[in-house]
Amino acid sequence: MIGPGSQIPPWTVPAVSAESMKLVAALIRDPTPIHWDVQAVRAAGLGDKPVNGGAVNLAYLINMLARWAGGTQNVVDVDVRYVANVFAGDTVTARGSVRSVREDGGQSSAECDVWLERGDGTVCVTGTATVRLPGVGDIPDVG
Amino acid sequence: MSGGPDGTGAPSVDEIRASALGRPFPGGSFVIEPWEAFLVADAVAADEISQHSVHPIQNYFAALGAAGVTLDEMFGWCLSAASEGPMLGSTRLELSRPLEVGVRYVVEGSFLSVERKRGARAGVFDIAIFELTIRDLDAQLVARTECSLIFPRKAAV
Repeated sequence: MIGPGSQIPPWTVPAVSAESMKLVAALIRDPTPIHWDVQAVRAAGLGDKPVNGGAVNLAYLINMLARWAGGTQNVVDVDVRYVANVFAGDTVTARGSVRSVREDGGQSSAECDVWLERGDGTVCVTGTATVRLPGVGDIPDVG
Repeated sequence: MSGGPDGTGAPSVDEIRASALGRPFPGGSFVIEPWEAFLVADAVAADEISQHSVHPIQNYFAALGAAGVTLDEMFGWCLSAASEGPMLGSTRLELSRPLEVGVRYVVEGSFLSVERKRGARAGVFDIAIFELTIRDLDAQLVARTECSLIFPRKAAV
C-alpha cells in the first residue's frame, strides 16, 4: 500500500557519460563550456571533469518516477533545485519518498520528495514531484 | 555590457530588468523528429529508448529550441554571457499531456522576474526566472516550464 513514507525504488546511473553531455549541449545549443570543455571546467575551479547539465539530472529523477509509476505519462509535475554538480564518471542515484496521497475523481496521485545524490552521498538535486498512481497494487513499494 | 552606476563594471539590477523584462521571447514552433526522441532518451539514460516515445525532459529541451532565443541570447538579455558562468538554479515542469513524435507544437515564453541576491560564499548574483509554455495547434496547454538562471556578478559590490 502506497502512503506517506513509502520509498520509491531508487534508480542509478553507474557512470554519467561525458559524451552524452556533449550530445545534449549540441541538441539544445547550450553554449556553457563546463558541459563539454575540460579547460573551461578547470578555469572555473570545478576540477577536471565536465559538469552534467542540470536538466539531465532532472531527467534522471523523471526516469525514477516513470519506472515506479508505470510510465512517463504518469509524471505530472516536477519542481527541483540544483544544489551541487554532477561530474562525468560520477555514479548518481535518484531517490524519492511519498509525502502524501490524494484521491480526486477516482484518480490517485502521490506527492513525493525527490532527490539525486552522488556516490559520495552529496545531494545534487532536491525537490518535489506529483505522479498519477495507476492503481493500487500496480506499483512497487520498497519500504 | 554596460557598467553599473557604482562604476564596478557589473550591470545594475534595474538595467537587467529593463533589458530582460516586459518583452516576450519571439516564440516559434517545433516538431520532434523520431531521431531526436531516440537521441534525447538515450542521452538521459531513459528506460524506454525509441523513436516513437518522447521523454518528458523534451518539454524543456524542445521549448528552449523553439523559444526564438538561444540560451546564449537569453544570457545576453540578462547582460551576461556563457563565459561568466551562468547556472541553472531550478526547474519546474508542469506536464499536462505527453508530447508526440511528428506533431507540431507552439512555444511562447518570457522572463518573469530578476532579483539580486548576496551570499556569504557566492557573493553577489542575480536570479532571473523565465517560463516557456507549449501548446498544440488548437491552443491546448501541453506543458509549462519555469526555470531560474543564476548569474554570478563578480564585479558587483
